[in-house]
Amino acid sequence: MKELSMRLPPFAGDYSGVASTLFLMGGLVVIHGSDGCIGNYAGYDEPRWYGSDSMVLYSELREIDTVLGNDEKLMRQIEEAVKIQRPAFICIAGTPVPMIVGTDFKGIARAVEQRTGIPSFGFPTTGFSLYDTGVSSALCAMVERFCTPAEKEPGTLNILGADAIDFCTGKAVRSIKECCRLHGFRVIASPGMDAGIENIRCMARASCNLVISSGGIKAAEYMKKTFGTPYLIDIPVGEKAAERTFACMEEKEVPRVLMPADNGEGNILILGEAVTSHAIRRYLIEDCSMDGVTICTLFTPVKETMNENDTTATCEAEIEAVINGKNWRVIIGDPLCRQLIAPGRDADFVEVPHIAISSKLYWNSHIDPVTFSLKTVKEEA
Amino acid sequence: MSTFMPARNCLCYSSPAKGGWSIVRVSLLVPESYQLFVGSPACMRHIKLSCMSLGTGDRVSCLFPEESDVVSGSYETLIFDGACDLLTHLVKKPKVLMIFVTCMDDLLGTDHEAFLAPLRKRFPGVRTIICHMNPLMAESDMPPGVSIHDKMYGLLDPVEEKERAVNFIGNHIAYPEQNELICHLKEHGFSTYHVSQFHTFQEYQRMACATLTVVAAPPALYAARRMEERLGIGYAGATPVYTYDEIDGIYQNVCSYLDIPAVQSKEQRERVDERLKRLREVLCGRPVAIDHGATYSPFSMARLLLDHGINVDTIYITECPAYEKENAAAIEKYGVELIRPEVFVPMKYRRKRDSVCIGFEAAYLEGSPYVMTLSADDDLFGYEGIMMLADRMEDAAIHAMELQELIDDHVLVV
Repeated sequence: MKELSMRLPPFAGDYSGVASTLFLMGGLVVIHGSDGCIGNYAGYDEPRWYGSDSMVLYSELREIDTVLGNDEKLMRQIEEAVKIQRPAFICIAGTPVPMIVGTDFKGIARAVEQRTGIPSFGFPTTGFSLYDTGVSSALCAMVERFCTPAEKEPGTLNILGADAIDFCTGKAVRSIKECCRLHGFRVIASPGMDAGIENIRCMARASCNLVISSGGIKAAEYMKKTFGTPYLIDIPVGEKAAERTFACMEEKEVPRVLMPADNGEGNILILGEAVTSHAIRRYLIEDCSMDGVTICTLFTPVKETMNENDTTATCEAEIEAVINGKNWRVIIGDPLCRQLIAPGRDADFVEVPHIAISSKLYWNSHIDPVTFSLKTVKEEA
Repeated sequence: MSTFMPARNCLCYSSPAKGGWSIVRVSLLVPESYQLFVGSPACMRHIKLSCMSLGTGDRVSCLFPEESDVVSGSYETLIFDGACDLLTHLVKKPKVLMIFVTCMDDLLGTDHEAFLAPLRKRFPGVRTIICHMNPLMAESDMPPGVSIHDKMYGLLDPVEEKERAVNFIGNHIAYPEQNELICHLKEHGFSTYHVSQFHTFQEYQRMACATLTVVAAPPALYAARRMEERLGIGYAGATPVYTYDEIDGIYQNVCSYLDIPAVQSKEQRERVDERLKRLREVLCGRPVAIDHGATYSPFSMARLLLDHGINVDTIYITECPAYEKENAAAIEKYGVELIRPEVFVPMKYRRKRDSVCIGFEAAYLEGSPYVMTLSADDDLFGYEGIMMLADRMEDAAIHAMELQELIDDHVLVV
């Protein structure tokens, strides 16, 4: 039954994606819910929570306020909070209970902005959708509001979709930035990981956008439409694949996606986020001369990165069916997916933890995709 | 300093050290029980992950209704189908299936009987009950911490004959055998029961045979009242306290009910006085901070320590509970600072000092690595509990710890 999950934990939710994206941007993020709602995000979806100074707070929603539709209480709470420390912006994210009573988050945000004079955003997140939808909404909202037109500087790029749920505490994104630098690109902003509002204002200067997760696509599309900034959906993994990545970012017409030269149906399965999985596949094919790599996307799919053999799985039952539907030689995925392999199956499992699945159980073992190498595959296989 | 804490209306901060035993962890103490959570993925994620950390992930499953199920009315059908699928798949059938519903269920007006009745009919060997994980109701008469104890002990069936036994409920960890009350009860022919000591559901039913229930935490009081109504087992309130008179008061109640001689506490008091004197010498005036997640009676604990010359200068607490008002008034003369942990304080204004902290959250907010890990009093009770408190405080004062590791190891859940 697809709604039932006996072994895997639920995946990180949309309001975690919003909070994670905005975590270091100097704003006030309000999770409109009870302490369980923030406990979920702060305790299990935010690897940077311990020791942080970020103003991510919750409204301590109670039944009486929900039933009476007491949005005024929330607005007063926000007004008091901004007196402690004036944030760069205010964001209010929803949880399941406000969704049920039809809370108007955008309306509340407008009222809050009028009262406080601080740019405010409302996100009707519900806790039912995946984290990447929250990342996408939050990133796009920031770019739409703060990014201003500018003359393009050659050899510069932004990194879009750099959120902590996909990339943990930042080491992976720093590797990507270093890789960009080595290939002659200067990174203007990587919102979600280390960019504040001032960096976002300058993003239109970039000659190109590098989208490293599905959460960054909507913002990339906005920037293309508004500022004419082309984008490429990719992560530079491996030498040859990375060379190709940066080469095409200098072309006049930047393709949205680089597909591997050759791929047939084979016996290597990658389970994970669409863009990371796509990048690992390109590496395995272009750097390691492997073929037959299939991707099963576990979160929001990116159609352009999928070939005819690829698939998606949205629940434990579907993931299990994909894992056991064929005699895979190697499976690359989050460690918690290993338990879904049926007894007697022979696949070698390469652990690539993802916070949206295994959270803090494995986030100290998070792998930097840039340095993901055949060695990792060989060690495990 | 006033112990009056005006009502607050602020956005709340959830520190990395906030939390304790979740209601899930508490309810899993019932042997041969299994839990099915129904709600949005975001609500249940930390539950499943924390159980996996504790090694009990194989006793918890999740059922995700979609938004369309919630609004279309197929929610009850989904729960029935999901529970059937689960129970069919489980090789070892549980004796108890706890279906946990979340906050949104309170707003939906769910007819639980619509799926409970057919489930019980289809799986007659499994007792299926509804439990609530609904922090939305935290300030109601039935918050989740109260209702879960009622659900757990509501599984006990009435019996004809009673045993010479005393239940302890509300405490997460059984009190050690050397506790003076436990020893005293044993000397007078009474066994003591705690849910954690039973390995099968059948064995657990022995708690229904007890003569008295000692209520070792305020959230369990309602469950004890209901046990009296249903099972004829009287109860005595016994939230862990730390002043001598309060401890003796509890013991007096218990012994009086059981019609046994009182516990003689003179030697205990002398022993504890001596131990606290040594602790005072070791601490040498260092500040001590207590947080309300560590103990149900922070003011009682503070009063004990302050009266013995130990410098408790901070209590992290949201609200003074009614049963602590007397202790709170008694320590006013010491000028203890009361700080609300849920009020956000920017990093530049946060404390960083080498205080000795009782409780995880106190340690985090003090910025101190000297922490005595304690959650909801753990196994501290009575005079023996104070001896253990002193030992652990002394150890904490000497050994700096990695707080983040401790928090992860203890699997604190909000």
